[in-house]
Amino acid sequence: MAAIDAPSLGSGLGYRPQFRADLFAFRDRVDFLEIIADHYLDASREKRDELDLLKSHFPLVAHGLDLSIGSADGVDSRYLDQVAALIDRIDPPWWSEHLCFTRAGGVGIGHLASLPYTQEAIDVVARNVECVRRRIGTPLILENITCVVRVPGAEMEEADFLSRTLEATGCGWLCDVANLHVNAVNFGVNLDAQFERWPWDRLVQIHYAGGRERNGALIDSHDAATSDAVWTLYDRVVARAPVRGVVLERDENIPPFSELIDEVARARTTLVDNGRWR
Amino acid sequence: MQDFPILDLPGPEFLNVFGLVVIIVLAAAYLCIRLADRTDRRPPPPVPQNPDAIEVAFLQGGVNQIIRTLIYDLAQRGFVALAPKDHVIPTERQPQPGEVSAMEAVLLDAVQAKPKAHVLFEDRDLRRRLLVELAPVRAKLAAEELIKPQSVKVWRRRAQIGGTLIIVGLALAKIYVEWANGPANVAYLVFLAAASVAVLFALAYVLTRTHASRRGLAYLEAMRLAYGGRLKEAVGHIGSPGPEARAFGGAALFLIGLYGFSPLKGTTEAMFAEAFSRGSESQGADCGTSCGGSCGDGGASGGGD
Repeated sequence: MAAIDAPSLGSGLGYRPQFRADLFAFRDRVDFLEIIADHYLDASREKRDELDLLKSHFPLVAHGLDLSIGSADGVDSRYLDQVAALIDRIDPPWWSEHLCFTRAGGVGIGHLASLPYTQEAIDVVARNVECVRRRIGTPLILENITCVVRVPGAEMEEADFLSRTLEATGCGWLCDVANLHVNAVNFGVNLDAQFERWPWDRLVQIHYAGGRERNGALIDSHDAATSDAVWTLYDRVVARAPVRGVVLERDENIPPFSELIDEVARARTTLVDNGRWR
Repeated sequence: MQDFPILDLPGPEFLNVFGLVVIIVLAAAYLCIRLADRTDRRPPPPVPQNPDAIEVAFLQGGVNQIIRTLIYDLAQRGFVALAPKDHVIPTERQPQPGEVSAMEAVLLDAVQAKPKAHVLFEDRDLRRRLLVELAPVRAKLAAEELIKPQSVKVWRRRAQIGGTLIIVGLALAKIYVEWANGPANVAYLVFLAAASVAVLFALAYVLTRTHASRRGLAYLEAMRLAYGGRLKEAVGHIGSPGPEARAFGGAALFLIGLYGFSPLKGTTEAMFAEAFSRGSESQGADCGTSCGGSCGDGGASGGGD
Protein backbone atom coordinates (compact mmCIF):
# COMPACT_ATOMS: atom_id res chain seq x y z
CA MET A 1 0.00 0.00 0.00
CA ALA A 2 1.34 3.45 -0.92
CA ALA A 3 2.48 5.78 1.84
CA ILE A 4 0.46 8.63 0.41
CA ASP A 5 -2.08 9.08 -2.32
CA ALA A 6 -0.25 11.32 -4.78
CA PRO A 7 0.54 11.42 -8.48
CA SER A 8 3.89 10.43 -9.95
CA LEU A 9 5.90 13.52 -10.80
CA GLY A 10 8.84 12.04 -12.66
CA SER A 11 12.41 13.29 -12.69
CA GLY A 12 12.83 16.71 -11.17
CA LEU A 13 15.35 19.22 -10.04
CA GLY A 14 15.98 21.14 -6.86
CA TYR A 15 15.32 24.71 -7.95
CA ARG A 16 18.05 27.30 -7.52
CA PRO A 17 17.64 30.84 -8.86
CA GLN A 18 21.10 30.75 -10.46
CA PHE A 19 19.86 28.57 -13.30
CA ARG A 20 16.39 30.02 -13.69
CA ALA A 21 16.89 31.23 -17.27
CA ASP A 22 18.36 27.91 -18.38
CA LEU A 23 15.59 26.08 -16.61
CA PHE A 24 12.94 27.92 -18.61
CA ALA A 25 14.86 27.42 -21.85
CA PHE A 26 14.93 23.65 -21.19
CA ARG A 27 11.77 23.28 -19.19
CA ASP A 28 10.52 20.33 -21.20
CA ARG A 29 13.51 18.38 -19.85
CA VAL A 30 12.51 18.78 -16.21
CA ASP A 31 9.32 17.09 -15.00
CA PHE A 32 8.91 18.97 -11.73
CA LEU A 33 10.72 21.21 -9.30
CA GLU A 34 11.44 21.06 -5.63
CA ILE A 35 11.70 24.47 -4.00
CA ILE A 36 13.40 25.19 -0.70
CA ALA A 37 10.50 26.29 1.47
CA ASP A 38 12.68 28.48 3.66
CA HIS A 39 13.59 30.67 0.68
CA TYR A 40 9.96 31.74 0.36
CA LEU A 41 8.93 32.34 3.94
CA ASP A 42 8.35 36.04 4.58
CA ALA A 43 9.21 36.41 0.91
CA SER A 44 9.73 39.67 -0.93
CA ARG A 45 7.42 40.60 -3.80
CA GLU A 46 10.08 39.40 -6.24
CA LYS A 47 10.33 36.00 -4.58
CA ARG A 48 6.55 35.64 -4.54
CA ASP A 49 6.43 36.49 -8.24
CA GLU A 50 9.17 33.94 -8.84
CA LEU A 51 7.16 31.35 -6.97
CA ASP A 52 4.04 32.12 -9.00
CA LEU A 53 6.06 31.89 -12.19
CA LEU A 54 7.46 28.50 -11.20
CA LYS A 55 4.04 27.28 -10.15
CA SER A 56 2.50 28.23 -13.47
CA HIS A 57 5.13 26.27 -15.40
CA PHE A 58 6.04 23.24 -13.27
CA PRO A 59 4.52 20.89 -10.72
CA LEU A 60 6.10 21.92 -7.42
CA VAL A 61 6.93 20.24 -4.14
CA ALA A 62 8.37 22.06 -1.14
CA HIS A 63 11.34 21.00 0.95
CA GLY A 64 11.76 22.52 4.41
CA LEU A 65 15.00 23.00 6.30
CA ASP A 66 14.24 24.38 9.71
CA LEU A 67 11.05 22.87 11.09
CA SER A 68 13.11 20.89 13.59
CA ILE A 69 10.67 18.03 13.70
CA GLY A 70 12.79 16.24 16.30
CA SER A 71 12.92 19.07 18.85
CA ALA A 72 11.77 17.93 22.26
CA ASP A 73 10.33 21.40 22.92
CA GLY A 74 8.04 21.18 19.89
CA VAL A 75 7.97 22.99 16.58
CA ASP A 76 8.10 26.77 16.25
CA SER A 77 4.49 27.83 15.69
CA ARG A 78 5.44 31.00 13.79
CA TYR A 79 7.67 29.04 11.45
CA LEU A 80 4.93 26.47 11.04
CA ASP A 81 2.43 29.21 10.14
CA GLN A 82 4.79 30.50 7.48
CA VAL A 83 5.28 27.05 6.02
CA ALA A 84 1.51 26.52 6.07
CA ALA A 85 1.00 29.75 4.13
CA LEU A 86 3.55 28.64 1.56
CA ILE A 87 1.97 25.21 1.20
CA ASP A 88 -1.40 26.88 0.75
CA ARG A 89 0.05 29.04 -1.98
CA ILE A 90 1.68 26.30 -4.06
CA ASP A 91 -0.64 23.40 -3.19
CA PRO A 92 1.92 20.60 -3.69
CA PRO A 93 0.99 16.90 -3.65
CA TRP A 94 3.36 16.51 -0.68
CA TRP A 95 6.05 18.42 1.15
CA SER A 96 9.14 17.26 2.96
CA GLU A 97 11.33 17.92 5.97
CA HIS A 98 14.42 16.36 7.47
CA LEU A 99 14.21 13.81 10.23
CA CYS A 100 16.46 15.74 12.56
CA PHE A 101 16.51 18.71 14.88
CA THR A 102 17.80 22.20 14.09
CA ARG A 103 16.75 23.93 17.32
CA ALA A 104 17.17 23.05 20.94
CA GLY A 105 15.92 25.07 23.87
CA GLY A 106 14.69 27.70 21.41
CA VAL A 107 18.18 28.20 19.98
CA GLY A 108 18.88 27.54 16.32
CA ILE A 109 21.97 25.43 15.81
CA GLY A 110 22.40 26.19 12.12
CA HIS A 111 22.57 22.70 10.73
CA LEU A 112 20.70 19.44 10.54
CA ALA A 113 21.53 17.44 13.67
CA SER A 114 20.96 13.73 13.95
CA LEU A 115 18.44 12.46 16.47
CA PRO A 116 19.30 9.72 18.92
CA TYR A 117 17.98 6.42 17.64
CA THR A 118 15.66 5.90 20.61
CA GLN A 119 11.98 5.32 21.23
CA GLU A 120 11.85 8.61 23.09
CA ALA A 121 13.00 10.47 19.97
CA ILE A 122 10.38 8.63 17.91
CA ASP A 123 7.69 9.74 20.37
CA VAL A 124 8.88 13.35 20.11
CA VAL A 125 8.76 13.25 16.32
CA ALA A 126 5.31 11.64 16.36
CA ARG A 127 4.03 14.36 18.68
CA ASN A 128 5.49 17.11 16.53
CA VAL A 129 4.18 15.59 13.31
CA GLU A 130 0.70 15.49 14.84
CA CYS A 131 1.03 19.19 15.64
CA VAL A 132 2.17 19.92 12.08
CA ARG A 133 -0.65 17.85 10.63
CA ARG A 134 -3.24 19.88 12.54
CA ARG A 135 -1.94 22.97 10.76
CA ILE A 136 -1.03 21.56 7.32
CA GLY A 137 -3.21 18.97 5.64
CA THR A 138 -0.83 18.25 2.76
CA PRO A 139 1.10 15.00 3.36
CA LEU A 140 4.47 15.46 5.03
CA ILE A 141 7.31 13.14 4.13
CA LEU A 142 10.53 12.85 6.13
CA GLU A 143 14.07 12.66 4.80
CA ASN A 144 16.95 10.64 6.22
CA ILE A 145 19.96 12.87 6.88
CA THR A 146 23.68 12.30 7.05
CA CYS A 147 25.23 11.81 10.45
CA VAL A 148 28.41 13.49 11.54
CA VAL A 149 28.39 11.63 14.84
CA ARG A 150 26.05 8.99 16.18
CA VAL A 151 24.35 10.20 19.33
CA PRO A 152 25.33 7.83 22.16
CA GLY A 153 22.64 5.68 23.74
CA ALA A 154 21.10 4.41 20.52
CA GLU A 155 18.52 1.70 21.05
CA MET A 156 18.38 0.67 17.39
CA GLU A 157 20.00 0.99 13.97
CA GLU A 158 19.20 3.92 11.66
CA ALA A 159 17.07 1.74 9.37
CA ASP A 160 14.93 0.57 12.27
CA PHE A 161 14.71 4.07 13.71
CA LEU A 162 13.49 5.43 10.39
CA SER A 163 11.02 2.56 9.87
CA ARG A 164 9.52 2.93 13.34
CA THR A 165 9.36 6.73 13.06
CA LEU A 166 7.52 6.57 9.75
CA GLU A 167 5.20 3.97 11.18
CA ALA A 168 4.51 6.03 14.30
CA THR A 169 3.91 9.22 12.35
CA GLY A 170 2.24 7.81 9.24
CA CYS A 171 4.61 9.90 7.12
CA GLY A 172 6.08 8.90 3.79
CA TRP A 173 9.80 8.67 3.21
CA LEU A 174 12.01 10.98 1.22
CA CYS A 175 14.96 8.68 0.66
CA ASP A 176 18.17 10.59 0.11
CA VAL A 177 20.24 7.89 -1.54
CA ALA A 178 23.36 10.03 -1.29
CA ASN A 179 22.83 10.29 2.47
CA LEU A 180 22.28 6.55 2.73
CA HIS A 181 25.54 6.00 0.89
CA VAL A 182 27.46 8.59 2.93
CA ASN A 183 26.32 7.13 6.26
CA ALA A 184 27.02 3.59 5.12
CA VAL A 185 30.56 4.46 4.05
CA ASN A 186 31.36 6.67 7.04
CA PHE A 187 30.02 4.23 9.65
CA GLY A 188 31.00 1.03 7.90
CA VAL A 189 27.45 -0.21 7.40
CA ASN A 190 26.88 -2.95 4.84
CA LEU A 191 24.01 -1.43 2.94
CA ASP A 192 23.58 -4.49 0.74
CA ALA A 193 23.07 -6.74 3.72
CA GLN A 194 20.71 -4.27 5.39
CA PHE A 195 18.81 -3.28 2.27
CA GLU A 196 15.50 -4.91 3.10
CA ARG A 197 15.43 -3.39 6.58
CA TRP A 198 14.69 0.06 5.18
CA PRO A 199 11.01 1.13 4.94
CA TRP A 200 10.60 0.83 1.18
CA ASP A 201 6.82 0.59 1.50
CA ARG A 202 6.92 4.19 2.74
CA LEU A 203 8.99 5.58 -0.12
CA VAL A 204 7.55 8.63 -1.86
CA GLN A 205 10.49 10.62 -3.18
CA ILE A 206 14.21 10.26 -3.76
CA HIS A 207 17.01 12.82 -3.50
CA TYR A 208 20.29 12.16 -5.19
CA ALA A 209 23.39 14.33 -5.35
CA GLY A 210 27.15 14.32 -5.51
CA GLY A 211 29.42 14.95 -2.56
CA ARG A 212 33.09 14.84 -1.73
CA GLU A 213 35.54 13.40 0.70
CA ARG A 214 37.05 15.48 3.49
CA ASN A 215 39.41 14.24 6.16
CA GLY A 216 38.70 10.67 5.22
CA ALA A 217 34.93 11.00 5.45
CA LEU A 218 32.29 11.49 2.79
CA ILE A 219 30.18 14.61 3.07
CA ASP A 220 26.89 15.34 1.39
CA SER A 221 27.99 18.65 -0.07
CA HIS A 222 25.82 18.79 -3.20
CA ASP A 223 28.74 20.22 -5.13
CA ALA A 224 29.64 17.50 -7.61
CA ALA A 225 28.12 15.15 -10.11
CA THR A 226 26.37 12.11 -8.66
CA SER A 227 28.89 9.34 -8.11
CA ASP A 228 28.67 5.90 -9.66
CA ALA A 229 28.13 4.37 -6.23
CA VAL A 230 25.11 6.61 -5.61
CA TRP A 231 23.74 5.89 -9.08
CA THR A 232 24.02 2.18 -8.39
CA LEU A 233 22.12 2.58 -5.15
CA TYR A 234 19.58 4.84 -6.85
CA ASP A 235 18.93 2.24 -9.54
CA ARG A 236 18.44 -0.43 -6.91
CA VAL A 237 16.02 1.69 -4.89
CA VAL A 238 13.93 2.65 -7.92
CA ALA A 239 13.75 -1.00 -8.93
CA ARG A 240 12.70 -1.95 -5.38
CA ALA A 241 10.01 0.61 -4.56
CA PRO A 242 7.33 2.62 -6.34
CA VAL A 243 8.80 6.10 -6.02
CA ARG A 244 6.65 9.11 -7.01
CA GLY A 245 9.38 11.57 -7.85
CA VAL A 246 13.15 11.93 -7.86
CA VAL A 247 15.08 15.16 -7.40
CA LEU A 248 18.66 16.12 -8.18
CA GLU A 249 20.14 18.43 -5.55
CA ARG A 250 22.96 20.77 -6.52
CA ASP A 251 23.91 23.77 -4.39
CA GLU A 252 27.58 24.53 -5.04
CA ASN A 253 29.89 24.45 -8.07
CA ILE A 254 26.84 24.57 -10.28
CA PRO A 255 27.95 23.25 -13.68
CA PRO A 256 26.62 24.16 -17.13
CA PHE A 257 22.91 23.44 -17.07
CA SER A 258 23.28 20.72 -19.68
CA GLU A 259 25.17 18.62 -17.12
CA LEU A 260 22.31 18.90 -14.64
CA ILE A 261 19.86 18.01 -17.38
CA ASP A 262 21.95 14.97 -18.25
CA GLU A 263 21.70 13.77 -14.64
CA VAL A 264 17.96 14.41 -14.57
CA ALA A 265 17.64 12.43 -17.81
CA ARG A 266 19.78 9.61 -16.40
CA ALA A 267 17.49 9.41 -13.37
CA ARG A 268 14.41 9.46 -15.58
CA THR A 269 15.69 6.58 -17.65
CA THR A 270 15.76 4.37 -14.56
CA LEU A 271 12.24 5.49 -13.64
CA VAL A 272 10.98 4.63 -17.11
CA ASP A 273 12.84 1.32 -17.23
CA ASN A 274 11.14 0.30 -14.00
CA GLY A 275 7.69 1.50 -14.98
CA ARG A 276 7.73 4.34 -12.44
CA TRP A 277 7.26 7.04 -15.04
CA ARG A 278 5.81 7.27 -18.51
CA MET B 1 -29.75 78.35 -19.08
CA GLN B 2 -30.02 80.49 -15.97
CA ASP B 3 -32.43 77.82 -14.73
CA PHE B 4 -29.52 75.55 -13.84
CA PRO B 5 -28.69 76.35 -10.22
CA ILE B 6 -25.05 75.24 -10.66
CA LEU B 7 -24.51 77.93 -13.26
CA ASP B 8 -25.79 80.58 -10.88
CA LEU B 9 -23.22 79.73 -8.24
CA PRO B 10 -20.70 82.46 -7.44
CA GLY B 11 -17.30 82.03 -9.12
CA PRO B 12 -15.31 80.27 -6.37
CA GLU B 13 -18.14 77.92 -5.50
CA PHE B 14 -18.70 77.10 -9.15
CA LEU B 15 -15.01 76.32 -9.52
CA ASN B 16 -15.30 73.80 -6.68
CA VAL B 17 -18.18 72.11 -8.45
CA PHE B 18 -16.31 72.31 -11.75
CA GLY B 19 -13.29 70.66 -10.14
CA LEU B 20 -15.49 67.89 -8.79
CA VAL B 21 -16.99 67.31 -12.24
CA VAL B 22 -13.50 67.12 -13.74
CA ILE B 23 -12.45 64.52 -11.17
CA ILE B 24 -15.55 62.46 -11.91
CA VAL B 25 -14.92 62.70 -15.65
CA LEU B 26 -11.29 61.61 -15.22
CA ALA B 27 -12.29 58.71 -12.98
CA ALA B 28 -14.97 57.62 -15.43
CA ALA B 29 -12.50 57.86 -18.32
CA TYR B 30 -10.01 55.75 -16.40
CA LEU B 31 -12.60 53.10 -15.66
CA CYS B 32 -13.95 53.02 -19.21
CA ILE B 33 -10.53 52.57 -20.76
CA ARG B 34 -9.30 50.19 -18.08
CA LEU B 35 -12.37 47.97 -18.28
CA ALA B 36 -12.19 47.87 -22.07
CA ASP B 37 -9.14 45.62 -21.67
CA ARG B 38 -10.17 42.63 -19.62
CA THR B 39 -7.73 40.25 -21.18
CA ASP B 40 -6.16 39.64 -17.78
CA ARG B 41 -9.11 37.45 -16.86
CA ARG B 42 -6.99 34.69 -18.41
CA PRO B 43 -3.52 33.95 -17.08
CA PRO B 44 -0.68 34.72 -19.48
CA PRO B 45 0.46 31.92 -21.77
CA PRO B 46 3.52 29.92 -20.71
CA VAL B 47 6.87 31.60 -21.18
CA PRO B 48 8.29 30.27 -24.47
CA GLN B 49 11.41 28.13 -24.37
CA ASN B 50 12.81 29.89 -27.42
CA PRO B 51 11.30 33.38 -27.45
CA ASP B 52 10.87 34.88 -30.89
CA ALA B 53 12.69 38.20 -31.05
CA ILE B 54 10.22 39.73 -33.48
CA GLU B 55 7.16 38.74 -31.47
CA VAL B 56 8.69 39.98 -28.25
CA ALA B 57 9.84 43.26 -29.78
CA PHE B 58 6.46 43.92 -31.39
CA LEU B 59 4.64 43.21 -28.18
CA GLN B 60 7.04 45.30 -26.15
CA GLY B 61 7.16 48.39 -28.30
CA GLY B 62 5.50 47.94 -31.69
CA VAL B 63 7.26 48.93 -34.90
CA ASN B 64 9.82 51.15 -33.16
CA GLN B 65 11.06 48.24 -31.09
CA ILE B 66 11.15 46.06 -34.20
CA ILE B 67 13.34 48.70 -35.85
CA ARG B 68 15.68 48.80 -32.85
CA THR B 69 15.94 45.04 -32.67
CA LEU B 70 16.54 44.49 -36.37
CA ILE B 71 19.05 47.32 -36.68
CA TYR B 72 20.97 45.89 -33.77
CA ASP B 73 20.90 42.43 -35.29
CA LEU B 74 21.97 43.70 -38.69
CA ALA B 75 24.82 45.61 -37.05
CA GLN B 76 25.93 42.53 -35.14
CA ARG B 77 25.99 40.61 -38.38
CA GLY B 78 27.95 43.33 -40.17
CA PHE B 79 25.32 44.61 -42.62
CA VAL B 80 24.86 48.06 -41.09
CA ALA B 81 26.88 50.29 -38.79
CA LEU B 82 26.36 53.36 -36.69
CA ALA B 83 28.21 56.39 -38.05
CA PRO B 84 28.92 59.73 -36.36
CA LYS B 85 25.96 62.01 -35.67
CA ASP B 86 23.65 59.02 -35.17
CA HIS B 87 23.53 58.01 -38.82
CA VAL B 88 22.75 54.41 -39.63
CA ILE B 89 24.72 53.38 -42.70
CA PRO B 90 24.99 50.22 -44.78
CA THR B 91 28.32 48.45 -44.82
CA GLU B 92 30.01 46.99 -47.84
CA ARG B 93 28.84 43.54 -46.91
CA GLN B 94 25.97 42.43 -49.11
CA PRO B 95 23.59 39.73 -47.87
CA GLN B 96 23.54 36.47 -49.76
CA PRO B 97 20.14 35.15 -50.88
CA GLY B 98 18.24 33.91 -47.84
CA GLU B 99 20.71 35.47 -45.42
CA VAL B 100 18.33 38.17 -44.24
CA SER B 101 14.60 38.01 -43.57
CA ALA B 102 12.04 40.04 -45.51
CA MET B 103 11.82 42.54 -42.66
CA GLU B 104 15.58 42.88 -42.49
CA ALA B 105 15.65 43.45 -46.24
CA VAL B 106 13.11 46.26 -45.82
CA LEU B 107 15.31 47.87 -43.20
CA LEU B 108 18.44 47.45 -45.29
CA ASP B 109 16.61 49.30 -48.07
CA ALA B 110 15.74 52.07 -45.66
CA VAL B 111 19.31 52.58 -44.45
CA GLN B 112 20.70 52.97 -47.96
CA ALA B 113 19.92 56.68 -47.60
CA LYS B 114 22.08 56.74 -44.42
CA PRO B 115 19.33 58.23 -42.27
CA LYS B 116 19.73 59.34 -38.70
CA ALA B 117 18.50 56.73 -36.26
CA HIS B 118 15.39 58.64 -35.24
CA VAL B 119 14.43 59.23 -38.86
CA LEU B 120 13.83 55.51 -39.17
CA PHE B 121 11.06 55.83 -36.61
CA GLU B 122 9.43 58.60 -38.65
CA ASP B 123 9.75 56.92 -42.03
CA ARG B 124 6.11 56.24 -42.90
CA ASP B 125 6.93 54.06 -45.88
CA LEU B 126 9.27 51.93 -43.78
CA ARG B 127 6.63 51.53 -41.09
CA ARG B 128 4.01 50.57 -43.63
CA ARG B 129 6.26 47.96 -45.24
CA LEU B 130 7.26 46.54 -41.88
CA LEU B 131 3.66 46.31 -40.80
CA VAL B 132 2.82 44.34 -43.92
CA GLU B 133 5.54 41.85 -43.00
CA LEU B 134 4.37 41.86 -39.40
CA ALA B 135 0.77 40.98 -40.21
CA PRO B 136 1.11 37.28 -39.25
CA VAL B 137 2.85 38.17 -35.98
CA ARG B 138 0.19 40.70 -35.18
CA ALA B 139 -2.59 38.24 -35.95
CA LYS B 140 -1.00 35.60 -33.75
CA LEU B 141 -0.55 37.95 -30.81
CA ALA B 142 -4.09 39.28 -31.23
CA ALA B 143 -5.48 35.73 -31.25
CA GLU B 144 -3.75 35.13 -27.93
CA GLU B 145 -5.16 38.42 -26.57
CA LEU B 146 -1.65 39.71 -25.98
CA ILE B 147 -2.09 43.02 -27.78
CA LYS B 148 -4.63 45.61 -26.78
CA PRO B 149 -8.11 44.88 -28.08
CA GLN B 150 -9.70 47.38 -30.46
CA SER B 151 -12.30 48.09 -27.80
CA VAL B 152 -9.65 50.04 -25.89
CA LYS B 153 -9.22 52.38 -28.82
CA VAL B 154 -12.98 52.77 -29.13
CA TRP B 155 -13.41 53.53 -25.45
CA ARG B 156 -10.42 55.84 -25.40
CA ARG B 157 -12.03 57.91 -28.13
CA ARG B 158 -15.41 57.88 -26.39
CA ALA B 159 -13.82 58.93 -23.12
CA GLN B 160 -11.87 61.71 -24.81
CA ILE B 161 -14.84 63.05 -26.73
CA GLY B 162 -17.39 62.60 -23.96
CA GLY B 163 -15.10 63.99 -21.28
CA THR B 164 -14.15 66.98 -23.42
CA LEU B 165 -17.79 67.74 -24.18
CA ILE B 166 -18.70 67.68 -20.49
CA ILE B 167 -15.75 69.79 -19.34
CA VAL B 168 -15.87 72.33 -22.16
CA GLY B 169 -19.66 72.38 -22.23
CA LEU B 170 -19.90 73.16 -18.54
CA ALA B 171 -17.25 75.86 -18.80
CA LEU B 172 -18.90 77.47 -21.84
CA ALA B 173 -22.31 77.41 -20.19
CA LYS B 174 -20.92 79.21 -17.16
CA ILE B 175 -19.12 81.74 -19.35
CA TYR B 176 -22.36 82.35 -21.27
CA VAL B 177 -24.29 82.90 -18.04
CA GLU B 178 -21.64 85.22 -16.64
CA TRP B 179 -21.38 87.26 -19.78
CA ALA B 180 -25.17 87.47 -20.03
CA ASN B 181 -25.05 89.26 -16.68
CA GLY B 182 -22.34 91.67 -17.76
CA PRO B 183 -18.55 91.71 -17.98
CA ALA B 184 -16.88 88.91 -16.00
CA ASN B 185 -13.38 87.56 -15.52
CA VAL B 186 -13.48 83.96 -16.74
CA ALA B 187 -9.79 83.57 -17.53
CA TYR B 188 -9.18 81.16 -14.69
CA LEU B 189 -12.13 79.00 -15.72
CA VAL B 190 -10.86 78.90 -19.29
CA PHE B 191 -7.43 77.90 -18.05
CA LEU B 192 -8.89 75.25 -15.77
CA ALA B 193 -11.03 73.81 -18.55
CA ALA B 194 -8.09 73.69 -20.96
CA ALA B 195 -5.85 72.07 -18.33
CA SER B 196 -8.54 69.51 -17.50
CA VAL B 197 -8.94 68.50 -21.12
CA ALA B 198 -5.16 68.20 -21.41
CA VAL B 199 -5.09 65.96 -18.35
CA LEU B 200 -7.89 63.86 -19.82
CA PHE B 201 -5.95 63.33 -23.04
CA ALA B 202 -2.74 62.63 -21.13
CA LEU B 203 -4.53 60.05 -19.01
CA ALA B 204 -5.96 58.39 -22.11
CA TYR B 205 -2.50 58.32 -23.66
CA VAL B 206 -0.84 56.83 -20.60
CA LEU B 207 -3.49 54.14 -20.32
CA THR B 208 -3.22 53.11 -23.95
CA ARG B 209 0.37 53.77 -24.96
CA THR B 210 1.60 50.19 -24.68
CA HIS B 211 0.91 47.75 -27.45
CA ALA B 212 0.53 44.90 -25.04
CA SER B 213 -2.81 44.17 -23.44
CA ARG B 214 -2.94 43.53 -19.72
CA ARG B 215 -2.48 39.85 -20.47
CA GLY B 216 0.39 40.75 -22.77
CA LEU B 217 2.03 42.86 -20.08
CA ALA B 218 1.80 39.96 -17.65
CA TYR B 219 3.34 37.73 -20.31
CA LEU B 220 6.24 40.15 -20.85
CA GLU B 221 6.75 40.44 -17.12
CA ALA B 222 6.87 36.66 -16.78
CA MET B 223 9.43 36.55 -19.57
CA ARG B 224 11.57 39.17 -17.83
CA LEU B 225 11.39 37.21 -14.62
CA ALA B 226 12.27 33.95 -16.33
CA TYR B 227 15.05 35.21 -18.56
CA GLY B 228 16.33 38.28 -16.71
CA GLY B 229 19.46 36.36 -15.73
CA ARG B 230 20.37 35.98 -19.39
CA LEU B 231 20.49 39.75 -19.77
CA LYS B 232 23.27 40.20 -17.21
CA GLU B 233 25.13 37.29 -18.74
CA ALA B 234 24.83 38.72 -22.25
CA VAL B 235 25.83 42.24 -21.23
CA GLY B 236 28.88 40.74 -19.54
CA HIS B 237 29.96 39.22 -22.84
CA ILE B 238 29.84 42.48 -24.78
CA GLY B 239 33.30 43.49 -25.83
CA SER B 240 34.82 40.13 -25.04
CA PRO B 241 37.02 38.58 -27.73
CA GLY B 242 35.69 35.84 -29.97
CA PRO B 243 32.18 34.85 -30.95
CA GLU B 244 30.78 35.57 -27.48
CA ALA B 245 31.11 39.28 -28.27
CA ARG B 246 27.88 38.93 -30.23
CA ALA B 247 26.17 38.75 -26.90
CA PHE B 248 22.65 39.27 -28.18
CA GLY B 249 22.98 37.19 -31.32
CA GLY B 250 20.73 34.34 -32.34
CA ALA B 251 18.57 33.04 -29.54
CA ALA B 252 19.51 35.96 -27.27
CA LEU B 253 18.28 38.64 -29.68
CA PHE B 254 14.87 38.60 -28.03
CA LEU B 255 16.49 40.30 -25.04
CA ILE B 256 16.94 43.44 -27.16
CA GLY B 257 13.27 43.17 -28.08
CA LEU B 258 12.36 42.76 -24.45
CA TYR B 259 14.62 45.36 -22.86
CA GLY B 260 15.53 47.69 -25.72
CA PHE B 261 18.94 49.35 -25.75
CA SER B 262 18.99 50.52 -22.13
CA PRO B 263 21.10 47.56 -20.92
CA LEU B 264 23.80 48.52 -23.44
CA LYS B 265 24.56 51.74 -21.58
CA GLY B 266 27.99 51.62 -20.08
CA THR B 267 29.15 48.94 -22.51
CA THR B 268 31.15 49.24 -25.70
CA GLU B 269 27.84 49.17 -27.55
CA ALA B 270 26.41 52.15 -25.72
CA MET B 271 26.27 54.04 -29.03
CA PHE B 272 23.07 52.19 -29.88
CA ALA B 273 21.38 53.41 -26.73
CA GLU B 274 22.67 56.93 -27.36
CA ALA B 275 21.81 57.14 -31.06
CA PHE B 276 18.32 55.82 -30.65
CA SER B 277 17.55 57.62 -27.41
CA ARG B 278 18.40 60.92 -29.08
CA GLY B 279 15.74 60.07 -31.61
CA SER B 280 13.23 58.68 -29.19
CA GLU B 281 12.52 59.53 -25.63
CA SER B 282 11.65 55.95 -24.94
CA GLN B 283 14.20 53.42 -23.82
CA GLY B 284 12.48 50.49 -25.32
CA ALA B 285 9.24 50.11 -23.51
CA ASP B 286 7.18 52.42 -25.61
CA CYS B 287 7.30 54.02 -28.94
CA GLY B 288 8.97 57.30 -28.45
CA THR B 289 8.19 60.78 -29.44
CA SER B 290 6.63 60.00 -32.71
CA CYS B 291 4.01 57.54 -31.66
CA GLY B 292 0.62 58.21 -30.20
CA GLY B 293 -1.51 55.70 -28.35
CA SER B 294 -1.22 52.57 -30.33
CA CYS B 295 -3.84 50.25 -28.86
CA GLY B 296 -2.42 47.17 -30.43
CA ASP B 297 -1.93 48.54 -33.90
CA GLY B 298 1.80 48.31 -33.36
CA GLY B 299 2.27 51.97 -34.05
CA ALA B 300 0.79 51.58 -37.50
CA SER B 301 0.40 55.29 -37.76
CA GLY B 302 3.23 55.93 -35.38
CA GLY B 303 5.31 58.02 -37.72
CA GLY B 304 3.09 60.98 -37.44
CA ASP B 305 0.00 60.41 -35.41
